[in-house]
Amino acid sequence: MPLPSPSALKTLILSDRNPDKAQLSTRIMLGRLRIEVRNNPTLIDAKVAELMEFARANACAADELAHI
Amino acid sequence: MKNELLSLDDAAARITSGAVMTIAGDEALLAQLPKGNWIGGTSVYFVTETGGAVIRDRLYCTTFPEGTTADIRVLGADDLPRISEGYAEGGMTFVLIPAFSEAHSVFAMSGTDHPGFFNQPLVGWISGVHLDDIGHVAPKVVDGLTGQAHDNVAVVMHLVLEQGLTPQVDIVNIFSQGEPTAPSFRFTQSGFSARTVLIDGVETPLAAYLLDNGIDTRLPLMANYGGALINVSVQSVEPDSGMVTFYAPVMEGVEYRFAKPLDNYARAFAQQLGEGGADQYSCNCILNYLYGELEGKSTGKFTGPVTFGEIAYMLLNQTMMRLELKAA
Repeated sequence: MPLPSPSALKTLILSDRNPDKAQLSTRIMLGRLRIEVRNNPTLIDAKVAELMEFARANACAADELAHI
Repeated sequence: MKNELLSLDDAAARITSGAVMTIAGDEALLAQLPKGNWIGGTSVYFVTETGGAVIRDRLYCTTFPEGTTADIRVLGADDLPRISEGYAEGGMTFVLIPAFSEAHSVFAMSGTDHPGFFNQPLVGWISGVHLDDIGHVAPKVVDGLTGQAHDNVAVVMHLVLEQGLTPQVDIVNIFSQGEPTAPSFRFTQSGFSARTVLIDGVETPLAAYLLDNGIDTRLPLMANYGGALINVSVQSVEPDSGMVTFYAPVMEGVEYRFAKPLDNYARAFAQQLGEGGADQYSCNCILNYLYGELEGKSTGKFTGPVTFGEIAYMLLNQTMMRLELKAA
């Protein structure tokens, strides 16, 4: 499964589109990253990297994040 | 996996056979179990097939014949960031933490910040005691390898599953968030307590607001994490000090709304749970048990301990956690 691009993940974190049908870990992870970026927008690149690492470790999540 | 309420002798025999297990029960029974591949936690409240019940003479045992290896670790609060170091490929992890402990607080406040935390399924619960014993008896967790009980650390079991099985973790939250027009609550600091909150952006004394507006604090505050509705339950409202305490931390910057009231708690569970659940691992919140008056009321086929907090990656309140091992 190809990984989503960093720019796609950045867009996802900055959006309010929810992966309602994704596994629980994907939903909570994305929700947490959005909160952290909302509280401190300078963290966006670090949080994109964190989400990329999560997708790399979890093929199902990579697929879900690519299709939100 | 197999869920059973077993006598002490039957649970001991199961452990001695080499089975991999998680066990919930009264401290006096847990203390008599032999050493083996198990972790346990104290609870005397259970959801059974016939309804909620206080049970002190049997142990709620979940046996995992699907587990090929089980690595059990004891982690203090300072070591919790290293929980994912034990993640094994193709596995999942159970974590049990005693209520009111430092490990409980640390996990709740910063558990999800730890590197690699979400990289595999992580479930568990917060052990408790009979409500009459709060303040007198400390909740415990047990490392089955040594038989040692602890009141201030987490016990963790990293389980490797047979090939072809996929653990699926989810939560059952019978509440729904108030309408978008309902007041929104934002806290300026994360924590288990708060005196003030931004309500629709206006700094407001929280205790006075809750009391003046007759807010039913049996209803949780709810936040939306990427589509997952996460509850934070109110523990106490102290008018004199103005302090409001919570069973899980409110998080800075998160938008919360109070849940809509329920007509019938037990029916709400039964409707959400449907007919499944007999072969799933689950735990349900003590607040659901109390507020829903679930003692003696059936909520479907899900059974398990009633806990002082549920863990599905993060600490949850007023929620049922469930785990299913699905064939790929």
